[in-house]
Amino acid sequence: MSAQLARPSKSYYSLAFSQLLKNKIALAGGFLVLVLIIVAIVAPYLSPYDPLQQDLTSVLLPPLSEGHPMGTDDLGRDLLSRMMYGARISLLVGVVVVAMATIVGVPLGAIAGFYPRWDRWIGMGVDVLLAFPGILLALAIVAALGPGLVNVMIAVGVRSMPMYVRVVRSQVMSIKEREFVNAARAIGVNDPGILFRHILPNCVGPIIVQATINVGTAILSAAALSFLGVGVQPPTPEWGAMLSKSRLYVVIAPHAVTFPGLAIMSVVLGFNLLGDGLRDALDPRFRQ
Amino acid sequence: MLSYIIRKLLTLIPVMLGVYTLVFVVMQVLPGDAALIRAGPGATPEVVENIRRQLGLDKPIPVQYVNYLKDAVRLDFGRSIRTNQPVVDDVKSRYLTTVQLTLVATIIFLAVGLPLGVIAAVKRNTIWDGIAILVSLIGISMPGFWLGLLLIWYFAVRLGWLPAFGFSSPKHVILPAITLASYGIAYTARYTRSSMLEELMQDYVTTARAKGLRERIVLLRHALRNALIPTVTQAALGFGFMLGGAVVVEVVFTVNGVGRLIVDAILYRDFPVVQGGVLLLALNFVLVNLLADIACAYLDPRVRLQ
Repeated sequence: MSAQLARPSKSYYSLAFSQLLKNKIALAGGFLVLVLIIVAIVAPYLSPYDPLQQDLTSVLLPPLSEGHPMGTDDLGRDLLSRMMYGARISLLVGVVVVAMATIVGVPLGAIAGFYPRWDRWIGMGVDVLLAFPGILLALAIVAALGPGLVNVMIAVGVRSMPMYVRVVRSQVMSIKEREFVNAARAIGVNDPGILFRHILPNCVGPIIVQATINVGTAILSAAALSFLGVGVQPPTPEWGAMLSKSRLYVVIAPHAVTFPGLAIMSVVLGFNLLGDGLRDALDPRFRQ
Repeated sequence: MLSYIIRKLLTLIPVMLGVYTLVFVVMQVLPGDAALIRAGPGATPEVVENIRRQLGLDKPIPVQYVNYLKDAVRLDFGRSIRTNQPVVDDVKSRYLTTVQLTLVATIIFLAVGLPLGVIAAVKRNTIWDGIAILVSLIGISMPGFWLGLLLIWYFAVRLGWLPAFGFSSPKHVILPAITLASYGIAYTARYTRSSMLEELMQDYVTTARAKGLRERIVLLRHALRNALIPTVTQAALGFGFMLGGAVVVEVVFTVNGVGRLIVDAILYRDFPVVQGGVLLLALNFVLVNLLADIACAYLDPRVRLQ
């Protein structure tokens, strides 16, 4: 008993982390995410070819061809190299979208949850943004801004943002009733101080979960826009755009459709599993 | 109940006004001069000026905004640049196709997702539960456009059982509807599983078992009925969501729905059609959500009184 008491108490986050390490499914998700990150980093050094280099003498080669482990596409470009560079684009899209959505959504959600008179207006704005089903809002924004990587990230960012407002708002609303907030107020901390120094740090858990899952959905949405032809344009090796082009050859070269699709699915799956695991790990009720 | 419906209807007005305004703002951002685009290359300045006056684009932006709202409320979105037909006519015929596709997909995702979720909850921590979780994980992560291509490749090209493109017969509906339903199956299974698990922990289930009811009756007549309440909302949300999600599926299977109309219009820079299609789908989504809320309040008196 005394030995147990003498043990230094662990912080909330180190407890959550050790909880996460016990969750095999979450670790599998983390592994998929790690693979994406590593491939994205090493692509310029380890990819066998330039992803844009065409070779019209060897088009649509099947996988395991000599020099082309994944085969080639319709212009003879090495599929492995394009897949590796595609990881860079997907990771970039995921990270930038989540950063944009967090930077705008978290303060808005905090204000909505803390100040009732702002809640109505911010809530209405969120309702308006969520009134567009599916990727429709992103589609309309890309239509206005034009195609291209940056515009796709803006469009998907705007579409992702409302969820952060909702998550943070409900967190702030429940936390602001807690005793330590009253205590802070009693010793004279002003409203912004209470909100940003005392309440917001306690919302970090749900924000991390939301952000993790959102990286996956952002990659999926961006790939869908590129697939529709309004997003990232060829010859950029973006997985969605690659799929869009290869579908014309699905009968003679199914591999050119298989690899990009498999990559998108694994990445989205990875972020989903990791996000679910983080949710359980960060929620004290699920700890054993 | 009536006061609840009226209250909900009133909250709809500012949201729809916001939606219309947002679309107006987005269309203002568009690069290029709408009159110039419509006049086409090589038009004389007089022609362009004429079109500008005809479309009301010579008026100040606030006046344009008010006129746009007046027209849009009457579902008058102007004429398509490409076909010169009223946008609402173009959209209307395509809209029915999208609704048909979405309805079939809704039936599929409920017919598969619900039982999957219930079985997973009842047989918790067994192989059935594992299968349900795996299916829902794959369904959530799989890009719809990829699943569609794989289905085309396998069922249309390899086996030759079903047509790959178009939407002219019931056979044509199967593959696109399954593709569209995949996300809904995953989501419904997941959602039903957790709401069923929650109900199974309630006291009334214990009571029902204690008084000797057969397990099947406890599950189906007691627990499932309550677990279905949130699922009704989810089903309606899923339907509305798929109206928008159908864009991708319609492009993969060359189905002439609203989604494909919008994508084509974007590529041709036919912005009145983009605007009309997007507004119509958003309006629909909002209305379906309203119906879901009303259904939920009808089934669960606790919601009404909040």
